Amino acid sequence: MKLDANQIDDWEWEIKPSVGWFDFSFKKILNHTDLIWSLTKRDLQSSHKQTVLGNFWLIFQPLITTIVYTLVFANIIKVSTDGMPPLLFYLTGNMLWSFFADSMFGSLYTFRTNAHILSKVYFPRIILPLSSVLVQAYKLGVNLLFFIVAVLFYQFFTNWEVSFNLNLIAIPFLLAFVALYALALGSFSFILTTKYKDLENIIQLVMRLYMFVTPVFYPVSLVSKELSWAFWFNPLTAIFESFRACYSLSEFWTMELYISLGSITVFSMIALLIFRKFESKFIEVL
Amino acid sequence: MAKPVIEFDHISKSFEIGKLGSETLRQDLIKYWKQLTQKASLNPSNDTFWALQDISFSVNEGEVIGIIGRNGSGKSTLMKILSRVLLPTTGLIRGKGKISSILEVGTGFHGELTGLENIFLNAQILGMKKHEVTQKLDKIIAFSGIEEFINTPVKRYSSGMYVRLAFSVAAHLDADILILDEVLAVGDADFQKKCLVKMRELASNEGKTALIISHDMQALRQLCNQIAYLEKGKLKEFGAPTPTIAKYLYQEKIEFLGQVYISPDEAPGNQYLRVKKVSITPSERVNQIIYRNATLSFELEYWNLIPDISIMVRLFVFSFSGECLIQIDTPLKNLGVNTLHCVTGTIPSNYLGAGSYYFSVYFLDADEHKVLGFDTCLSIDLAGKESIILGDIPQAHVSSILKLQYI
Repeated sequence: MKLDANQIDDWEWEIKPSVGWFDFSFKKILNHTDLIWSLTKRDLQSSHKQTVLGNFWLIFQPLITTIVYTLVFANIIKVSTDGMPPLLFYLTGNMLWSFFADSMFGSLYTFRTNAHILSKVYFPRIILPLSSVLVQAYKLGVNLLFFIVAVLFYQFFTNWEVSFNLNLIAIPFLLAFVALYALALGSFSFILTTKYKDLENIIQLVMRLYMFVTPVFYPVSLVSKELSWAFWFNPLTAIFESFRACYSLSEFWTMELYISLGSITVFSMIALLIFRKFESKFIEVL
Repeated sequence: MAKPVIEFDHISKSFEIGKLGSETLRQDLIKYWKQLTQKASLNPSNDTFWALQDISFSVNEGEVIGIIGRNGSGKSTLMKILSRVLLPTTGLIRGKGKISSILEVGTGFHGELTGLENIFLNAQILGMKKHEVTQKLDKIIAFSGIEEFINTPVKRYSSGMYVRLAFSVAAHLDADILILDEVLAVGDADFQKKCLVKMRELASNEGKTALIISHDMQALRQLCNQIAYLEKGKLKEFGAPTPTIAKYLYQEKIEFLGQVYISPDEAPGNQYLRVKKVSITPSERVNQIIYRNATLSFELEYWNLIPDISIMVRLFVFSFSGECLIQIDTPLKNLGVNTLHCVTGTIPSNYLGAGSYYFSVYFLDADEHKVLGFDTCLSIDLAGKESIILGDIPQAHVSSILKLQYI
């Protein structure tokens, strides 16, 4: 038996019929950082090649949506924006929501668009949704630049005052949590939808409804007291509100924000562990 | 001193037929409902397909293992399990060292990206780091031989250029264990030779371990130390290349040395001509193996169904990769209606190099128009101690040695 033990020590890796619940290593993912960047670059480059306006499209689409929101919600329906300039209000809502939803769907569909690679090469599968989230992060970055320009415009050309404060530093931190939430939700949805494509329709529907229960085009202050508690169950609510608090005078570090970040962390950990456990089985039926 | 680097320990893999992606939630729910109500478990073996059953063998350091078997015998599944793309259903694989697997050339190539960008992307997908690619970049580009087009999007490439670039990346992978699936069969003949040389270099000089799936028996004989022969998911034979390959060819009837038909009605052909018999007979075989020093006799018999036609029979010999090595004609002969005709020819011993060959027979009229083509009607696999890749032979030389004639 002693000899056997020695031999087992000698092997460096094992391929077994199933993956353990905690069989993951960040080191392996970090080993593939080059690949993550390359895949991100591929997606960005290939979407820009043979277009005349290139990056401009990244701003153009959310800009038009924002203008439409502003017209419809602020001017026609007259929804309150908590005293913020409506354009800025809808720009943040729209920007954050697109980042979340596009990252989530990106993480979900990346497995299908890259199925030909998955069936031929192994690398930690989480790399694919990670790079789709990075693609969206780039788009968000371009939009943030535009957003900053818009904020400065309001600062200098209108009588509305931005409250510049230290909380601005925390914005990337908030965005990272949105990204993590989208990544986990998208990867988890992949596990759900691969075998049962019916669920894909449900997920699309749920995501559309999710937008309406997230303060994308209205502030939470508009929600009646009896209902508002239910609102805070949605971890995105606090993040959206706090993001807007950065440049208005509301409070940033609310109890709700802590709860939201905490619940995103817990949910994402569980979702990603489930993903890791079952990824191979579902990529097989892809 | 042989040190095992990979050990396959009773590997099996099953797939659920019909469930592959097509099953919807509704169908599954119905099934579960039936299972619940009838309290009878559905027979699991009913819709389970065993792609691999109980595969065990080990690979020593520096060995090159060839994997052969018919399509669907489980070769690719085994390699996919080894490269972690699929999980085994039961069993275990243990090993040491870094594995690189090329189950396809050009995995992840993106049409919109340039050749250069694709080199980086492809190499990184295959497991290389960016700085490693940068180091080898010049070599990769030089090997591919398409320097001028390196900044062109690959969607503008010809398929040949595409494959060259893809193989060049694969050939420069750094790994202790290399897995190759069918990649030998890419590009034109020239590039294939280049690939073969490169593969040998990878496999022998650098002491790398490799597992290769291929249908090119000659290449396997040249490259491999051991051959694993799979049949319907089971390991049928594991041993030295020449006898294992011979056994495979013999058992799977891949060598096709002859076909005979009794009456013109059932024989292959058209309204003009019918083939009665076509065969190639080696002068000797040793333990089922045909060596290249055997003399090969070619025999053809056919019926002519129409009056007043002159036919010239042309025999083609193709290499495994599809190059035409020999083209030889009989003289033109005037045939009477409903007559049987016989053509013979001999390929001298040691004339063809070791390898797999295909034979095609064409029937041409006086204007050299094709009356009947009988493509790849025969095939043979020749073994040899020395390995020669047959180059181009001048036609004049061919016809001075080979004679194809009516008798």
